[in-house]
Amino acid sequence: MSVTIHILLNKAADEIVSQLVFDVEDIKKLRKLGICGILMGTLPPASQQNVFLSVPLRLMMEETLWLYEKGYAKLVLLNSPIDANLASKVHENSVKLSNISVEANQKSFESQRQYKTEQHRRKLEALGLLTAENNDKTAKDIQNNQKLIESSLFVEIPNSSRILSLLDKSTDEKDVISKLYSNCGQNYHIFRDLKNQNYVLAPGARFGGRFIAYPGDPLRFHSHLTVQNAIDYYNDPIDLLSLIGGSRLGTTVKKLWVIGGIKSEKDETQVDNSSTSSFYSVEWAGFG
Amino acid sequence: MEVLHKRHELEELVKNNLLHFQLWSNVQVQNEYIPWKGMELRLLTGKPSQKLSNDDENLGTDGTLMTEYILPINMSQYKTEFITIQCLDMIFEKLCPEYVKRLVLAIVSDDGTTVFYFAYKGIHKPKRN
Repeated sequence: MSVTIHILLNKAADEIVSQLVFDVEDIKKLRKLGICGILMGTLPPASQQNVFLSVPLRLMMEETLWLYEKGYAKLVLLNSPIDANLASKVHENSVKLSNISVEANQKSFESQRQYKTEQHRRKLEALGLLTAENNDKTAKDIQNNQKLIESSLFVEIPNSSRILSLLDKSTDEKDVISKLYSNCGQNYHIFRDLKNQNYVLAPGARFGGRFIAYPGDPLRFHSHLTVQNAIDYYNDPIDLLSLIGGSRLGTTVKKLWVIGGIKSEKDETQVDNSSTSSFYSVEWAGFG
Repeated sequence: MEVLHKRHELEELVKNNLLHFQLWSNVQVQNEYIPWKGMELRLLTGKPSQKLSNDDENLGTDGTLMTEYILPINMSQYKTEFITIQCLDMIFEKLCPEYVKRLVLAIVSDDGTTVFYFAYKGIHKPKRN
């Protein structure tokens, strides 16, 4: 099983902006793996839309890394062609591209014509108008009808760009992955350990954490945990003000405030480093 | 200027709070301690006046509530108290019997206000209402 993840790069800053999935089938597969992401597509005329969002699905960095580690992810650069390269490619291939598009249109028109003529014939037949005696009349009608059909043909706009498909979109996966690792830091360990305990994680900013964790699919369960940014097991103090605030909030939204300490910085690219984190779940005691 | 209570002051303050304000019983400062950043961390034990969480079973054959283990700490905005995850792990390992699932953190601010939080080791589910 493999899912195509499009990596959006800020070329100037050499930074990864986001990881997007466009294929609905891929999104279904991810859901089954407990990777939910956030839908972020709006309708072009309603850019302020914030409900009923559509593809693309935006993944968290940790989700992308996890998928990559498990071998599910195929990374593709989304905007590598958006530069001078693109203009030259279009220029080089203009004749070819134009031919392709003319040909595709002709093909599409032809099949539409056939379909519509056939539909029309069936309709006449069903109405009993296609009999031998008024054959002459219907022949004329058919000719007339051809004109109507011709004006009703539509131009199909393909879903994928023909220009982009000409370009080399190969990705230095290693490079992308190492960037993601350095962006996530130790939070990835937290993500992976909770994922191994079958939690489904989502971004947690709404509840003042790095993640919120659901015990199963978010449509079936409420989340149980607000997971904080990872801290170092040996050296980082637990921020007590944040603990108090987070746990107090948690009593009203039924979530435990969870903090994880990471024991050591192992080789980041190593796939199979065992659990190195230790978690504590905090809730208000109900008094004081 | 933030005032930090000394360990023995903290212990006494939390003990009094539990005994006389929360009406707990048998509140005692334990003798065992672990050294931590130049401090001696001692736990308090005590029995609450009523069940603290709907998920708790009544331990003990006499139907009494289970003993809680309380760690008094200064609420330190500027992180002077320095409680780490390692520290909590050590407390669980060395100062608590094995069956204990949670510590009660008694967090004391510089004006004496004390708040109580359960710290469960590992991932825990929210309590039932």
